[in-house]
Amino acid sequence: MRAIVFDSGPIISLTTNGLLGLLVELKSRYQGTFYIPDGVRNELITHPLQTRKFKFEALQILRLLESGQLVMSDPPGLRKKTMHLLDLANRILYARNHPLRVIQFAEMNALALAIETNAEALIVDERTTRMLIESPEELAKRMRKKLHTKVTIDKKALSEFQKHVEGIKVLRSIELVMIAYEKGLLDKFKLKVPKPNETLLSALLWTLKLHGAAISEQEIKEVIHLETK
Amino acid sequence: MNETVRKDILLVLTKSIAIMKKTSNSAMEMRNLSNSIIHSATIFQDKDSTDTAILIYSISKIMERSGKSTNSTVLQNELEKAKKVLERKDERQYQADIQKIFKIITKLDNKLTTYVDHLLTHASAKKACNLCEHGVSVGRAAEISGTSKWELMSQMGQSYSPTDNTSRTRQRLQVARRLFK
Repeated sequence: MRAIVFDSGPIISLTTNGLLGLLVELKSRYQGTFYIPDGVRNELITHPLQTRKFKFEALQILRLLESGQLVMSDPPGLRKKTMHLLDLANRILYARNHPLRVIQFAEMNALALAIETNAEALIVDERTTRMLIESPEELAKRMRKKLHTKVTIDKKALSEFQKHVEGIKVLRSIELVMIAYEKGLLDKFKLKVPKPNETLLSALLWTLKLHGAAISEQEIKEVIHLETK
Repeated sequence: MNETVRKDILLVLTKSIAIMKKTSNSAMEMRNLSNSIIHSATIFQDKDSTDTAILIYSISKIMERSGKSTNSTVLQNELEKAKKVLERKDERQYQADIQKIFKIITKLDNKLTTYVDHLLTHASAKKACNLCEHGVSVGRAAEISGTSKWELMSQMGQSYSPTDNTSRTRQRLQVARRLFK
């Protein structure tokens, strides 16, 4: 069965930009299931429902869960697998003989569920999780530069982590929005403005960026160029 | 408390007290100082480093808003007390003193109150952004700083500068197109 697993970040990003409806439309085209694990549900719904500021956003996402557009999955053994991945991930990088705890439970919960469900993609916006899966050496290099101190990699922990995540494809909310754009799901925003395609793309990407999605200015230019050539 | 962390915090407290003693309003200097403790916060991820960073940043915002005032004198005195306690390696008292200063900030005069309620939330999210810049994940940074991912992501876009390989962008788009064809 086809599956895509979501971390909280992309759903937060889509919700705060008024683009949550795109998930429903994309789901209908996907012919598979959009999953979230329990840890992500807590971040998206359980905790913000107890606040004032993001309560309405939590309700919007809860509506998707209740209608089956998103499915919460907590198969047996998932928590144990999550804790194992969390332990490994937080022992990969060291500085001043101290393991760098760079990841938290919900992020590894989403990764664990992606592995368990043999997901076709894990949708995660935040950079550290992506880099741990795709390019841990680059993450170490970045932290070395930022911390002005030696950052080393525990090769044994990394090797074991990489065995678990082999084959996991990582996408971001940016790519989902691009697909929505390509499918014409956002055509209602191509209005009577100069260069309507470019204007819409620029507006979408910048609003995602300014609300926390990890995309650089350089990438925005690249995507606009790819999509409008 | 790790000895490196204690020394880092003492240095920050010493500098912050010196800044507050200046006759001119040096809010920007104070804000920059709050960034200097982020290295310790990233590596050791202890509450004390993070709380100190949030505190110093919060004080910088109060200085920005209200300038030199009796509030500054009260806060300066409390920082001096906290510093002395930490010099004696009385960590528990230090932590209590820092929480007391947070309460003072929260109880500031009526003109600042609404702003200040928002300030500590904003300061926590701001310092969490700094942690993300140093390589800590969004979720972990929110956890360490006592804020939420929602709050953090609303701050991040303003100051976070990610870099991603643009060739990877194309690869991702290709994968996405295959999934949704």
